[in-house]
Amino acid sequence: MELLIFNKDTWQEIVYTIRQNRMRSLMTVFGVFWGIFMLIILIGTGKGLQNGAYSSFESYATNSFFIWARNTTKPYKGFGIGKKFNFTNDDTRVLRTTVPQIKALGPRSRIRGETGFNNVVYKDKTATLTIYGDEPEIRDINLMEITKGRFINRLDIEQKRKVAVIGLESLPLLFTGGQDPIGRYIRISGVEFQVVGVFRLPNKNDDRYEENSKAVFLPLSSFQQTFNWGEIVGWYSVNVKSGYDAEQVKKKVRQILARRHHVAPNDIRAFGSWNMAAEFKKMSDLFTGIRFLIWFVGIFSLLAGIIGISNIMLIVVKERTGEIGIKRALGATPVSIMSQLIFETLILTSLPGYIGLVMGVGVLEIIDRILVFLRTDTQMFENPQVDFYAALATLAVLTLGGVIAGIIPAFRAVQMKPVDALRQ
Amino acid sequence: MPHISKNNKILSLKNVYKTYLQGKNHIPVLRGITLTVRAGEMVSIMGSSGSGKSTLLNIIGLLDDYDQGEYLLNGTLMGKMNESKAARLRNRHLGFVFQSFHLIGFKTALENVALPLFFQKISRKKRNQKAMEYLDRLGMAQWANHLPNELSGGQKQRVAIARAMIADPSVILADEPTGALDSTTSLEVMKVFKEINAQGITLVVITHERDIAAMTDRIVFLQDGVIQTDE
Repeated sequence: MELLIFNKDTWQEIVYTIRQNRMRSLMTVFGVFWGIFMLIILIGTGKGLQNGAYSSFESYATNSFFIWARNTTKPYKGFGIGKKFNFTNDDTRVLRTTVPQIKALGPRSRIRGETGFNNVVYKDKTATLTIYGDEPEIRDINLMEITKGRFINRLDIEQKRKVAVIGLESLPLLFTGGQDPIGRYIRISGVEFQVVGVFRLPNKNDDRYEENSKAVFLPLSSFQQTFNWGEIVGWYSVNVKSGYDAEQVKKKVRQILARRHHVAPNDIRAFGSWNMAAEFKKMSDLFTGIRFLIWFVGIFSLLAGIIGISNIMLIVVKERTGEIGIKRALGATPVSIMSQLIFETLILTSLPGYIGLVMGVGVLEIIDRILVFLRTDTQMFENPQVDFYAALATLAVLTLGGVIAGIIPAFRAVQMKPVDALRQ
Repeated sequence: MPHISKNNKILSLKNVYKTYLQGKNHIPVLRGITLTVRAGEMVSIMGSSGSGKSTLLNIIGLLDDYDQGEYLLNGTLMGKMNESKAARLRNRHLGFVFQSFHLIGFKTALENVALPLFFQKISRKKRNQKAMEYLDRLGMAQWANHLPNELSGGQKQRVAIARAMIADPSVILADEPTGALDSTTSLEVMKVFKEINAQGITLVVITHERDIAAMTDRIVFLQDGVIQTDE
């Protein structure tokens, strides 16, 4: 038994089918090619947009939120509207011990570097940098890379050490080329801090990259002491354990803080917050929708192509009725006639489809190269690609479509009695 | 070649009826045909158009079914059967030659001749070898790699005859085999049929030409679906 695919007669017939009406065949085959090509391009661009959008989240653990104190908007326990309040180190202790859903709690403080006001000095060089007061936990929320030395540790906090971790991008502002910053003393607002580490942010697409990469991290306790903040904490960055809803944890944290600072329980606007998880979910929902749309449109344009092939095969069967009749007179069984036609249809769909797939992936690759070549700091569009499973799914749809497209013409071919087929 | 003794009834029809439905009218085509053909005979069936001779040949060739009666091929009753079984029987026992040759246009003479063996799933090499042998027997070896439209009518019919013979059928059925040929070529083709018949293959030839029919052993004359004479 010879397999259809290795059989010269099979291919002879396919070539003949195409040759019989070149223009018609090319147009139909093009339909399938274009359907797959567009589907791949759409999937790739969708993925590219998604990558671009997701990359702005990459510097943060996505299951996290930030919360900060504003002024009260409701009178409560004898206090009027507009009471100011601040989070304190006590709040940090309470939150850490009473909210088990929190994975990491980062109490933070910041002094923004103001333009024209040089706050960091090394020897004769000066720079304007944002100063953060932080605890080690912040590394679980804001992703950063330590390229040299170390980050702030627990002992730094407890002993209020005058140490600093400095951004890689701010090194050239303070140190002349190649100088190792580790161990050197920089002066921040008149106080000397020893540099113990250098950090780098992994994600240039973050809109805060510019500000945050030119920054200095100090232990929160040293920060509070140096800048006379006392016990005050600027805001909290909170990373929620996986499996818990960040919004629920945020509510709980807000309730605890409201009670501790005599804020009305329903005074939501007394706190400012940003839910990274919710924003991330909005984004991922959007892309789920886009993906659905892409597949919906893609599959239907592909279907149009496949129906075109089916149509052509119906015409081919009609044109070749006589020939099919001869074959049947000579002993071709209906099964062999049908499998030949289905195989023919399958080749007519999967070959152009495969070419479309390869070309689509190729075009995406070229776009990617161009994007890498033109790389800018912020990108809306990044690394367009089609993952392996999407490609596999397209091929599966194509093959299935090809077989289905062949079934109707194949049945039509053997519907007639051989004697009637011969008469044509 | 199947070994069949001279007295063996290779085709046997008893009271065969066939009616076509045209719109709401039933048109009787065969009205009780009883006919026996012995192995090795060369029979011609004559009749005017509409006499039912083609229908009779189609029924004998298992290309069409009949409504009533009995048809035995080589002693086996050919009743209602599915297309796959009919196709296998045609492939093994029957060869066909048609008026308009019915060669496949995009296949060479050799490929056309080899086709029945393709349906027997015989390997390409073997079937081409055998096809070449048969083409040679019919004096067509040098045309093996030509397409049908490069051949003359007589040459096409020779290719078709080679194709009808290649699977060693017991019966070859020819439907107006000379209908599209000039008289000289017709005679040549009939000579070929005579030779085949001499090798022991049964031949049933449909024709409306007296001189063609005269070259066979026996003439069955059909009119309005019944056998008029059988001589």
